[in-house]
Amino acid sequence: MLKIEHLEKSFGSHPVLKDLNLELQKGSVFGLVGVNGAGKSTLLRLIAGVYQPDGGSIQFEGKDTFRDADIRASISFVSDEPYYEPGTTMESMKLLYESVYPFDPALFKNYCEEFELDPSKPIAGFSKGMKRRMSIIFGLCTHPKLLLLDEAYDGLEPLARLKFKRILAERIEEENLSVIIASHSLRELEDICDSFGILENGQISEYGDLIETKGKVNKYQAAFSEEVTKDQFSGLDILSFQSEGRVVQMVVRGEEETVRAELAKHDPVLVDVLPVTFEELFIYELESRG
Amino acid sequence: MNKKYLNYLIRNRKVLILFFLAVYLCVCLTWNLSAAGTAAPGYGYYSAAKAAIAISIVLCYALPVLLFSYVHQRSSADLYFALPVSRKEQRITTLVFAFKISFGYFLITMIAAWLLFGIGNVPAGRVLECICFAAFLIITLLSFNTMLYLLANNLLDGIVTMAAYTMFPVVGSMAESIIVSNIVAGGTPAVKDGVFVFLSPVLMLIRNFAATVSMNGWLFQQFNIPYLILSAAYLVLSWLVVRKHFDERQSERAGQISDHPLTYPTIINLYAVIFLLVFGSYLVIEPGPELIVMYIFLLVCYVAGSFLYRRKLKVDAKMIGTYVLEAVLCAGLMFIGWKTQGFGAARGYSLTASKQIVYQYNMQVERENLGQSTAGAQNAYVMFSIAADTDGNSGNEEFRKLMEDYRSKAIDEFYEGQKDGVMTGSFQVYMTNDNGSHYENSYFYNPSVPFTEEELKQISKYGDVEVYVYDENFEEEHYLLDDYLKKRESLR
Repeated sequence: MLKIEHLEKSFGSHPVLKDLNLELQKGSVFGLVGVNGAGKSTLLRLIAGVYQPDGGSIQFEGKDTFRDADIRASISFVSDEPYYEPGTTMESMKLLYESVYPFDPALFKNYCEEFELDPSKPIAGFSKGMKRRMSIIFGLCTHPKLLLLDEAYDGLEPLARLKFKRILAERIEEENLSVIIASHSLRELEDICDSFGILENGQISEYGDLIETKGKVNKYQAAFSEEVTKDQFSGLDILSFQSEGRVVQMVVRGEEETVRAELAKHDPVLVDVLPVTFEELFIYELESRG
Repeated sequence: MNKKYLNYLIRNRKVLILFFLAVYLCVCLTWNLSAAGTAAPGYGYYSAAKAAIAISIVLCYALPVLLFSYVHQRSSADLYFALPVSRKEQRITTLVFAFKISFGYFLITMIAAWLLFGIGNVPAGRVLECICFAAFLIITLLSFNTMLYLLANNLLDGIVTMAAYTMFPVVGSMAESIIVSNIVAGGTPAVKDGVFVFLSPVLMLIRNFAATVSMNGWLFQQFNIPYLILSAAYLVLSWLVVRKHFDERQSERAGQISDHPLTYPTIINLYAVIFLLVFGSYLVIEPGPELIVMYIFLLVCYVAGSFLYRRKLKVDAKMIGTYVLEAVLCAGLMFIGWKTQGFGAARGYSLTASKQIVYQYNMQVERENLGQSTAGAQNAYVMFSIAADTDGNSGNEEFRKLMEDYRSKAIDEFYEGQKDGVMTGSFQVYMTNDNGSHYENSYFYNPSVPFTEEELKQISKYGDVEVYVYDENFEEEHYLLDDYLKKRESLR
């Protein structure tokens, strides 16, 4: 559905994305994470056709999103900075969407009520959270096949977030909507995403199904009869290792049985296995790379 | 063009559209209606046409800023460039919308003005000619201003770029006049009308438009074909640049500093060079401490311009070095100009370009010796204005030689400095066309050495040489040369 191949983008002499590859299937909710300046917003703008790639290609349903304007009718990009002209209301903003997108006025009315927004009020008087809700409403009312959310999710208050999650679930189920969410709020992404990618050094360094990946990375707390060092576990893919005397806490990537078997070689007195959160996974992945 | 997008632009700017309709009709028609009946036939039509094109020209500056401002802001660029409307369609549709407003209202106003004031007074062909040229003017100016606006990366820089390039021909023309009067004896620009008008599409277009709405006998204005060709070239260039800078725009540059070579880097140095040439021309004619202040002041402006460009105050050796180098080169150029007598322009005048050459002389001299200039109280004024045919068969060769020798001495005096006497008069030479109404190749000198009385007697054979004196009560006494000399002799 969305296929990105060998994508390159530089700002002046500074390369932001280098030979980036990504494939996204219909109906998936993809969490795009990375440190500040990693290029998450740049990648979303490239997918939305706002930026022109320096190299490589971005194809959505087989069409180039920068060159083929028509395909952009199926893509909704909700920027991190909602735009509105001075003095405009949601009703007047609607004119633009109605003119160029397959806009659904009934849905617009419903969502305005659900998100408690008055479309006849000037947008300039909206709070930050209300502006976020407004952007999301416009993004959803065009019936996109691909929704790109650039930190738009972060500014939502808890109730709006719940409503949004529910609407998103409905749209995915009914219309097979695909979503890419770039966010700093990893705890929130964990609830909503089914797959993720870590953007690092201009490339997707880690990519996969969230539950599956989380299942493969676990936190182990073990006590040994003697002091142990990290070098003694060279057979394991250790993302984090901390020891205090004979007690060790480590985060290891790999099947639980395999890890347990490796630990058993050192006669542990006790082994506890704890699941990691998405946030921990992100931190350990980045830490393991230094 | 994208009809849906055009429809959005129209619906979104309904208030603006109605406002400008009111402006056009009020400004162009209301005052003419009040003058109807008292003004000359057709006056109302021509007056409305001039007012309507003035508003359209203002719109040609305002609309690109208003309609393309979204490319200069990241959040708006995110919204508009993500629309399912290609950049090409956005560019063309937006320009078509701007044209529809600027030209559409002009057209409505012109039709209304013709129906109200023009029928029977202004031929329909003339109206059509005016409307067609206005369409060309509006599309050219819209494209040219859009091009300038899109060269920048933010709104402020876009406006600065438009203003700088629009004003440059005006500033350049003024500088040209100063430089020419400073280093070219006689002070006539080398190229009639100056070269800077060719850098100004708006000036060329306005002049040609004026030709389509001039009332016979009121304003002599000919349609200028080179202006038309050059304006068309500007239109083509603008379209190409707008296409490149919009369709292939790096939208990630929105809101950032404008570092395109044709924005600040060119503007700052272009204006600096123009002013440095003016300073250089003063430096070679009368160097003084006030010029040092002017050079320092310009350097401050240069640094301020750089601050506006980079949005940070940074004075480095490269910047100062560039300024100093430009100052030295400009002063050097002016020095060469002075040493070569205005790059040869001081003596590059034609003596046969037109049918007649006119010499005008006006000198404040001593009453007892009309060949001696003075600034004292007991003075007289010697004046003449004599036209001579230039065909070489009119028997005026002696007169023309006398005049040209005098002109030559005036030029020498300009470059060598006045040796004696005081500068109390003027000597002007110009050429006229067949009917004598239009003059060109005009040169103006300030010689300090007058013609001798013997020379004045010779000159008086070819035309009237007049002498004016004023008595104690400032009453004017006017004589022809011979009469004055006889009276003076009798009083002795």
